Amino acid sequence: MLDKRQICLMTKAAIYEKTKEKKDMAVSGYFRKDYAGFSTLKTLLWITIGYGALVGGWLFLFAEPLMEDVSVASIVTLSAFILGVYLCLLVIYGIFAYTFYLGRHDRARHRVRSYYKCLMKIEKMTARGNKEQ
Amino acid sequence: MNKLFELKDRMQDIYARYTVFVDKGMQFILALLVFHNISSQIGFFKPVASPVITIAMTLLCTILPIGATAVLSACLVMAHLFGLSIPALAIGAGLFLLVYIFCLRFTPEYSWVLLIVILLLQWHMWAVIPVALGLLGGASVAATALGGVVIYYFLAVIKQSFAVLKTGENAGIIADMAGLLKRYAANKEMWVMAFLVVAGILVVYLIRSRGIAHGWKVASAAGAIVSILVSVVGNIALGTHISYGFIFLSAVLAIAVGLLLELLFFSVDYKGVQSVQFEDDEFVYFVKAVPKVGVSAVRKKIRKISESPEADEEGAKEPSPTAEKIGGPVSEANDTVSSSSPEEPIPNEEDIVAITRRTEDELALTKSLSRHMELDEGERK
Repeated sequence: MLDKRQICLMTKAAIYEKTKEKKDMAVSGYFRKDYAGFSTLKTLLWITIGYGALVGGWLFLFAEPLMEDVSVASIVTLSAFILGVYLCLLVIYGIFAYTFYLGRHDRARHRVRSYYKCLMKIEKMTARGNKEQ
Repeated sequence: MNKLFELKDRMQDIYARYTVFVDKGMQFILALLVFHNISSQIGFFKPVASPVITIAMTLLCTILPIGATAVLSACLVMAHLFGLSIPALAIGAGLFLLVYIFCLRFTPEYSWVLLIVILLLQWHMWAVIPVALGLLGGASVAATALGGVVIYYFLAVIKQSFAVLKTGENAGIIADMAGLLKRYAANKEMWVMAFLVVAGILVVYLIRSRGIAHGWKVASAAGAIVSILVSVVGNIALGTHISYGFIFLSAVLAIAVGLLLELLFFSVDYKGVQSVQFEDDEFVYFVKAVPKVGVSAVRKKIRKISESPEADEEGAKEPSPTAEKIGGPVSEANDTVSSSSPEEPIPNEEDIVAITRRTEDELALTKSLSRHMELDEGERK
């Protein structure tokens, strides 16, 4: 006879396998802090690339007017400003990314745990069904 | 209020039954609105701006996952920028790259938020953005929404600079690009809107996630107030020209949207709050439990017993009328059984015999089930 609870659990497990399993397994394969640290590092690298492109593009377009009244003081001020903005970006994005990826790891781990519990329940039900037969 | 909850229940029912169609329909509408908006705003590349291409791309987006709509929108914008000038294309490509790096890296799966932000800004409903996204999303959606603001104002600047970019070929590519960037960065309204969206989403999200009573309503009101304040201060301090009519209209609309979202996604009854306190070896727990509100809609079933055998055959696909005979009286109090009506013809003997024969299997199954579940013990005794 069909077991409604078992079908429910199997459907839940199948939906999870279809949608989130692959990503969650990849995430939960890391230790919590390792995952958050590694992902934050990747984000900071991307931020560096993006900021580099932004500053490069800006210098490329506005270098000519800048060169008209150039002085050592203005170059130092400009460099300090560019560096300051870069550091601010790194700090803001670093904190945000670390918190975000810690949360993502926690959620993935929780889902994987629920999935395994679900699988164990299904296994027990199947074993019980086999015994009864 | 009960009517509203019933309506919600019915809507959930319909959505559960036709999930694929509803999702794909909404995807179709979103893609159509976005593509039409882009083509009508910056339709510089005529072959791509035609309605046929718009419809074809919309249909393609309906088939593909929702993330494809954002990618195809970016491609469409690039095609139109290519039709305008190379400097515009270069700036546009750079801008999309920066939006991806700074705004979409955390939640690329929410790229559709970017499209909705563009549409809401186009319709002057900017206060709805922080309220809706702050209530339904997390703090990370603020970055995605910021990307939407940046792209919307880029399209607006391109539209305004159309004549300059078309005729300014003699000035040189670099001068054109620099001029376009200057005009873009000098757009104070963009900075005001960027601040409004980010600050609004964070405020709404922070209030909503505190767990205070009527948190969603308070958060919606706070989002609307933040949007009014930022817009008014922007108008006064930076000299932007945001219409006061739209500022207040969008704030009212934002509160309405907030209430609607609360009804759909967070219906709780704060009158029935239960506060409990307990402890174990490590912690003391202060738990506040708020009961959910739910009124299930009354579902009416109409069963017909027809005279002709053909109709009976069709009727067999519906729940069988003889279920009453087998399973006893129908449990739903609101059932309307048409056979009870005096106008309905009474089934003759032949029909009854046919129905009885047809349900022999059902009777056998019921008997075996009741034996299996030991329900017929009373009878045996």
